[in-house]
Amino acid sequence: MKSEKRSFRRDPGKLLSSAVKLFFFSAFLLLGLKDYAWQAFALALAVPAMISLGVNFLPRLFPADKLLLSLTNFLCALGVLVLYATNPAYAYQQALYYGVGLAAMVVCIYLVRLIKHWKIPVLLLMPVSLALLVLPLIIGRETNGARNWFYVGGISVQPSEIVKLSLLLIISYFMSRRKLLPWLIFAVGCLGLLMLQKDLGTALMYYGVTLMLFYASSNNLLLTGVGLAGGAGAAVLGYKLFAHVKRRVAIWQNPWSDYDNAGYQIVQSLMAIASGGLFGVGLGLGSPRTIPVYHTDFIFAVICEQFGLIFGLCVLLMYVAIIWRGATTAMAARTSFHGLLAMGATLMIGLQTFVIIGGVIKLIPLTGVTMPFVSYGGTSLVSSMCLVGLLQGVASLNEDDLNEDTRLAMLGSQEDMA
Amino acid sequence: MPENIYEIISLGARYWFAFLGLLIVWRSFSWLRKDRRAKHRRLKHLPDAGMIGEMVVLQGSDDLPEGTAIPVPRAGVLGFLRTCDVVVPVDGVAGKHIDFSFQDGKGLLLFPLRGQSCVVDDTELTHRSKTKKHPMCHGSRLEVGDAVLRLRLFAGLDTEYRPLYADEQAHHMPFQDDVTSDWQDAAYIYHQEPAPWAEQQNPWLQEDQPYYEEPVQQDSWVEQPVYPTYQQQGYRQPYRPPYQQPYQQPWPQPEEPFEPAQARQKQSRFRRRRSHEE
Amino acid sequence: MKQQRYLFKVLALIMFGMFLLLAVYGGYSIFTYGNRWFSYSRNPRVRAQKENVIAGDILDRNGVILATTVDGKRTYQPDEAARRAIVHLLGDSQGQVSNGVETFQTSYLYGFQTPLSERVDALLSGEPRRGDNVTLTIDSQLCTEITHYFSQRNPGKQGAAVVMNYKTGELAGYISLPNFDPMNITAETKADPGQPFWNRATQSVYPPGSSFKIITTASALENIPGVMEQDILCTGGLVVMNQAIRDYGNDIHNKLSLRSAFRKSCNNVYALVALTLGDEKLRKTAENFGFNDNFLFRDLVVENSTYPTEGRNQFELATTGIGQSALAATPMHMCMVAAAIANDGVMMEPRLLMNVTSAAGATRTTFQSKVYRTALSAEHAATLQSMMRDVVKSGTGTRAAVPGLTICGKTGSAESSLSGSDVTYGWFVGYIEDDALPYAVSVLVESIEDGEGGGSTAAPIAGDIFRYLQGLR
Repeated sequence: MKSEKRSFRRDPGKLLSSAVKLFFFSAFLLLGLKDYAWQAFALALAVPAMISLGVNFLPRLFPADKLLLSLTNFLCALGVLVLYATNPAYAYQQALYYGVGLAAMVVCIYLVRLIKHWKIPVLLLMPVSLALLVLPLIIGRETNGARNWFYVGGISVQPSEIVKLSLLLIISYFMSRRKLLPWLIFAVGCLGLLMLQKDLGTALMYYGVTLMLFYASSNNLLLTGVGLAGGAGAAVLGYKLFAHVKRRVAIWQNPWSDYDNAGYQIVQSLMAIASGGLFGVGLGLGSPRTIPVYHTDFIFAVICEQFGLIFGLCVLLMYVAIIWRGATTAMAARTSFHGLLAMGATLMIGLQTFVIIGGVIKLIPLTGVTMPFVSYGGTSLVSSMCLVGLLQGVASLNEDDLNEDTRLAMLGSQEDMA
Repeated sequence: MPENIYEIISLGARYWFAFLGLLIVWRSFSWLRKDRRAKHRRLKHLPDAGMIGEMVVLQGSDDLPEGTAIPVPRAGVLGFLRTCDVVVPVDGVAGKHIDFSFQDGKGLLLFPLRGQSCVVDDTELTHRSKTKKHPMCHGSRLEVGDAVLRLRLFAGLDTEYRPLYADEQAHHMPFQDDVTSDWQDAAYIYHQEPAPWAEQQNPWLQEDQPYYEEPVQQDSWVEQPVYPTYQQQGYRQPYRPPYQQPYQQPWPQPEEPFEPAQARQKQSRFRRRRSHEE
Repeated sequence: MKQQRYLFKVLALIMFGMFLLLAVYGGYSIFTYGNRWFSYSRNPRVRAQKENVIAGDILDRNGVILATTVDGKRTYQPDEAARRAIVHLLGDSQGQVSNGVETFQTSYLYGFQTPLSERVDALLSGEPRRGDNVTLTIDSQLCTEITHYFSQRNPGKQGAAVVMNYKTGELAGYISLPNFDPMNITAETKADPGQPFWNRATQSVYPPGSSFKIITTASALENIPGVMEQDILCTGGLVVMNQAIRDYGNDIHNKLSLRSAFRKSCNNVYALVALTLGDEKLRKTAENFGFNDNFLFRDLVVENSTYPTEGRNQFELATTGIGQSALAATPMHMCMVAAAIANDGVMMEPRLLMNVTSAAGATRTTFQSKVYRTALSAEHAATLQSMMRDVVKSGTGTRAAVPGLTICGKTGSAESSLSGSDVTYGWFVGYIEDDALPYAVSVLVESIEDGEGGGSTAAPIAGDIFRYLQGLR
């Protein structure tokens, strides 16, 4: 009994996941006390159960990274929690997407583990992705100035979220084979289509990840600099040419000058964050629903309002831990392809978080991307989980390789002894 | 629940949530730190983790004396720069000379970078030639610039089968890593040229000799079969350094009587992986 | 692979740097601007709190209740003149005046800072929640008097006046004209072209005119050795880049020292001094005095003052030396400049809050004085003090003199042509040189008549204020 207790104390996985489960259990219990809604009590049991499924059961299938699993599960469940506190209808949907996302992650892990030759999948993915990006231009709907999603069978799909996975695969495959042209054409095509959709945040993200991956795989500072200068030139050109870009930048510089119309979103967000203070206004209190698009873009403002600045910093640090883990995984990868894939997924998550949180706290102009794992939205959540799936797949391959090395080394020493 | 009571409970609970948030972050980062240490500890016992073999220097320079073994990862770049995976600081080697990657079932594929060339087993490769047809296998010899290197693969790697006899069909070698003592299979397993150090360690394996000796039957009237020598078979001699110095062991010789297993066992839990010839 | 691994590390470090930037920027902006964002009148959380919490009282330093809540309605002083005098300082419950005490101290007044234990006590006792009471450093009687003097001396004129304690930075009061009655806001008030909601003491910037010569002199003292001993020639029409700089009334002073040039407010000499100093040095001194700084005072929001940095040439530099060009400062900031000279070069942060007490009477917080910055050395400050004393004794500011008090000051008349027509502003900044009455004053009168200056419009009001302050002793 005593040793069991000690091992529990020493196992960082159990320590972490128990803290995570405790957090959600108490949070949903608190929300349930507000109006005695049975849904809250159900979620108080269901969400920790989901987390233990994700964190404790999945690693039995393959050698998965439990830290990564715990943190991503925490963030997903945090999304469900915050959505429940603001608008329960969204929360039920999000809980469903969370389950789907876990399944998608498992699929991605298996794909990375099983596929040895990526040539055919990658060649297939290229035209399919471009076609997916063209679709919203034809049958898409416009929201918030961007025409980047469409309806399929009652489900709204945002193809740029799916295409970012294939972008990573394509860049890593071709760069690991030292081929420049195929992925360059693909990336430029993607960026052009995103510009046509006026989806600037996603375009910024794609551009950043592409450039960073190119730099990491080629170490060509000159070409990277040219790419950077080209991007900056395109940004300046966009600022000069497009009125909506100019307006966005003007809002960013001084949102208070036009707080009732153009600056309304960011002003409400800043007010919410400032009202939260260090510890927040309390879960279920305050008025988070006065923040526009509180469920997707501004969900970080809601978190800061409800839980405070300290908790907001904790969330940031969790993303930092994910990036740290992702970079470690990428550095331990045995092949160039897997390394680039893991690093690309990490950078994608990190950059997306930076772009949206920077927009919410007025560090950079606001662009409509979702916060990975937390924001409401099926496509966003599933694609983020798939990114983690790719990362996990590489991590499990690393683990397999290391185990194989250990086995062979032990074999060698055993034969010596014999 | 009345609103004002809920408000007070919620206001109290926010400290609990902030505490849990900090706790989760603290535990994640201490886990990261712990994992980092564990990984370092594990890799210290596994110096060959991620490596497929070694390049043994047969002809080098002052910076790279003969006999040095450079570990070779699964994929990477060979050149004189320190950022390369296989650093060869020898005249005639470019900063980044060759891109290489190991392919299971084939061997170490070399892709010389633009403007560079190298010689693998007497075949010259440039960035234009079909380099996939000339993989390096265990014992293959590589000439880059003034350097001459020989690849020594670790056991357990699946490479292309090089036929020992002229008429034998090339086929895949099944994976085996623990069949070592069956002499019947010796020719099958050690299908590649022996490396020079093999001569030192296995005195029975001299040049001009077959792999195994038939008992000489002196009083037989039947003409004894004469086994073809290496040269007669059309295969290259095992490599011999061009100068007549005795071969130096790359590692220092222990002075006291050597007790291999126990002594090494003390040094580290897992010692280096076996190479084919050890 | 090795290199790729190294570059992965570099990229990860870049990402960490970006996240560090996020955390630092977020933390910094919340700690500096958090209260401003929070107390913004459109914050729905504050509006929601107003329905649940009875706002606390606001008192002045003598215990006069400036604002209180009676039966859920916010009421102010019974006397209309008193209400009107401090309306910009206090703000109104509708949030028409931006950043008055009523809105800027929302977190205290509406009980956002109440500790949990008090909340539990209040819940158990069943009493309605009350916000904290705020005591201000101002003297409401003084504000009423200033308004009275202002409208007597310059009837119908717009303007502002600020009185502050230069040793501690406590504000004794400030007014802005025109004003309005917070208990009786009508559509007429909202449509008034005089913009009565606009706080002219802290929110509008004006060219400081000759009162900026204090800073030019400070810069000359710091940067030109022996400037006090030299004689400078005033020809009455210094031509810089084909434009003449003339003196008030087209006077010609011939040779005169810096001291007498300051006393007579000679534009030619100060233009020459500015040209001798150069833009760099003058700007540095002005920035020492708080120009081009982002004012982030704890208790009040003050518009930033600007020393122009674009389109500089010799003519602009010469006119900057006499306080024109694109210089802009609030009456509050000019009062701080005078206060810095009076306080031997040390500029105090202006303060409005004395203490905060809970509804039960327990002291929640008291506030301490804080040095804002050291503008110039004590030695140079002493020289400037004597020069400013001369101005009131025998110069342009004689009408601010009060028998029995040593008054120091500087007048100013600034011209501006922002709204198409030329407007002249009359300035007086000064202080009482007396340890028992450490008060600095700045008075601004907007759109004065031709032929008048700060000495004839603003200085008399300052004199009245000094006389009132003398009566307090």
